[in-house]
Amino acid sequence: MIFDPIYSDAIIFASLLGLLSIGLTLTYLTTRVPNFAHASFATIGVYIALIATRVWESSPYVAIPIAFVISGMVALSLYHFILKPLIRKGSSQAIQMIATLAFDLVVIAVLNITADYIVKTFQVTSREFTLRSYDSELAGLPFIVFVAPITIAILAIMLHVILKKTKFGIAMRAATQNSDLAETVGVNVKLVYGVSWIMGGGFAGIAGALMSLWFQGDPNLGPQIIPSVFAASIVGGFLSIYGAIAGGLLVGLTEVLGTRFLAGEFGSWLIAYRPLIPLVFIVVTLMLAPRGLAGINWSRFRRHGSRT
Amino acid sequence: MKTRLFLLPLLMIIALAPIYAFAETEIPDWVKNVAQFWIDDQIDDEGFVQVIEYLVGQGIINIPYAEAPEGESAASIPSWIKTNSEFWVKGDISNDEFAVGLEWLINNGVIKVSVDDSSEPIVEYGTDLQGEVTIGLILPLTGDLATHGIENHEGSKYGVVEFNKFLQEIGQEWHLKMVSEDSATNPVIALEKLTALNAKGIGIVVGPETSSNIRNIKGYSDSNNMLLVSCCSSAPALAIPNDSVFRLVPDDRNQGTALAKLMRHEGIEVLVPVWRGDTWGDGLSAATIKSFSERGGIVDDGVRYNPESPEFSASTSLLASSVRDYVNEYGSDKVAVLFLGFAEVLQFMQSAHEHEVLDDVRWFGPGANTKEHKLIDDPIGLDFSTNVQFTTVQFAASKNPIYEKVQAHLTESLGVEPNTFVHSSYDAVWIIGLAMLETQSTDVSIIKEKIPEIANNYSGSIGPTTLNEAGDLAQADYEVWGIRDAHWINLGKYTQADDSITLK
Repeated sequence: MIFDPIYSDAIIFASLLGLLSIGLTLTYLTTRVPNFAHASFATIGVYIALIATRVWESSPYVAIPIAFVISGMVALSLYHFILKPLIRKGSSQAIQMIATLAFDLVVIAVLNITADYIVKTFQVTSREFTLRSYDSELAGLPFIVFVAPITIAILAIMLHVILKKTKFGIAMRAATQNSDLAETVGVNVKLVYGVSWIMGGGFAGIAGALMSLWFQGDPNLGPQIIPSVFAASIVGGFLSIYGAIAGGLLVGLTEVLGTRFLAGEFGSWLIAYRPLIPLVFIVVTLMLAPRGLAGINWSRFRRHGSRT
Repeated sequence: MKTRLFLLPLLMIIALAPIYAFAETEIPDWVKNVAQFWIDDQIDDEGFVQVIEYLVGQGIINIPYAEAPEGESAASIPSWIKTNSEFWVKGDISNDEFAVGLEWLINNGVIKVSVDDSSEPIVEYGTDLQGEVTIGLILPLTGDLATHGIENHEGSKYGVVEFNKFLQEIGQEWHLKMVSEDSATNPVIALEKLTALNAKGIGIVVGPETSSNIRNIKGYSDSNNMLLVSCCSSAPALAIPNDSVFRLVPDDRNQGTALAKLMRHEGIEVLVPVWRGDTWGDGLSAATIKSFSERGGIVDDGVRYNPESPEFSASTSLLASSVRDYVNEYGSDKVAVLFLGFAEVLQFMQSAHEHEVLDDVRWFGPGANTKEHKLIDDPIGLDFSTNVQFTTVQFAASKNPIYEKVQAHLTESLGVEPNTFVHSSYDAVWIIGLAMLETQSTDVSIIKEKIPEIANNYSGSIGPTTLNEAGDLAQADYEVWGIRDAHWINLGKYTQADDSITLK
């Protein structure tokens, strides 16, 4: 390989984090509840990829549309059966947040049952597994190195078109900015919210299907990566799709390349502290720029730059 | 009267005829596994003879017509018997036809079956214990060490079955019951499970498997008068006399010495270690580094990785950078990577595979990776571990009839050849059971006091189980294993007594 593989690792991680961050932001935009089960929606995608690859013996990429649908449906069930009734009863945001945590535990339990079923029925390793060996190669690089950034680019453009150019997008923006007003002009807010949750969960499912080609799959993968996903969304401003993409790329690249650089400079002991990086991002963002990258007045910097 | 006397032998022949006519050779199916080991030269002639002697002596194999000779014995096993065995293993000939070979071996004195057991004193046990006696088991049935955990669980389960058979044979009116808990290779969960067992009144536990788990639960176990007998924990930091933990493995100062000797024997001058950042990894890396340095080798600071991480890109990049510098200076044949981890070895090697320089040097590993079939099953894992001639050491059980029986049984039930720790798991149950039998008590303090004496006099599946002052296995020879031609192969042995490596 011409360049250090750490750069391709960083690109993959940052792209997948961006994808997860878009999904989390989409769901937060509607219900204003930080969804702690979001990363476990990705784990569902990981297991669908495992089934597609090891049980059906097809390409792991076959799992992408299936993961979108199933994770999207699971996300919709969280919104429809748990959050919507809670919102109707006037529950506080804290209660709703705890409900997502409880839902996460249920999803993890179901994933554990699924893992046991897979290993017993198909004699396939279903914990601490990776599908890296089942990826194809392009120009001497794993296919995922290209697929991950291309996927996030396609989904970002698609979202941009939906939000800016379609009636549904306009309704969605209206519903997220002022749901009461949107309802009075005939927007079906519940439908808009439901679709947003399907898309949010679906994007996590796609990220999960791709993650299986790089990460160690396990039912507990979600809780391991959720701090990074939240950091990416918070850095992005939590209310901006474009901010979420930028946040995902920034946090992802920093986690991989920053850890490598610091470990090279100060010693390998620093690698164990990698999970601190997203937490530092969260603290710094909330202290210095609570509205994240999307809330910064970039034109002021541009003007300042042109003056100097 | 004369006529009646003439009829007597005739009547005896008629009476005995059905017995002879229906006398069949009884050979359990799993003995075929033992025969296969012998055919494949995994055990030598002497080992095979010992196994058959034991099986015949115990009545497990019944050869009806064999008689020990009075004169001289034959010197060795004729080749036709091996050929016969091969046919029998394949199912081409029947038990009776195979037994012809065994009969020949017995009749010619190659196999000596002891029939006089009157010299053995009859041990009288008390009868205070009655009914069901429960012991706990905490092993990683999921998580990083699940591969070994599941195998060791089977080892302990088989230990309980066999021990209960033994109790029945000697007329005891109690039996062991095992309550299994999954630690998920997680120290916090291991403590939860131990607390739960204690709440159920179970104070004697087989396990846990890992040193980090034991470290986390040891305080609770010590202060609540519990007893842990671990099959596999080997961190030197846990070699503590008079605590609540016994370990049926030698501590890792021995494994570190064996690894260092092996690497120096293989001409390695520079060692770049990479290890799990936990009690076990820290202990074994320190032991290996110390021994390798004392043998004149150069040791890099290495990489201590976070075992919880779902990917290892930063660790492998850093490792590649260190290895590259040494390869440029010393050459790739003088530099080795020492990987000290569990089942994450596959994910780590997949990541290392991206760095060409890591593909060019030898890799060595610990007992925890020995026979890790994930490396064989995964295409990248197999390719990489073959390229780097991945070589490991694992503590050696001394081959004996019990070992062969346990190995054969578990190979059949698991579908793969199990790791050596299954034998420690089997023996752990027996040592606890024998301590209960001798004391006729389930009181933890009494059992704890009795265990060193029982262990020092017991010879089980791993051979003699003499413990040192810290309650760990005293013997410390190691087998050398490696991935060659897509298989785990036994490459040789490290002998502690003369600090030597013997490769096949």
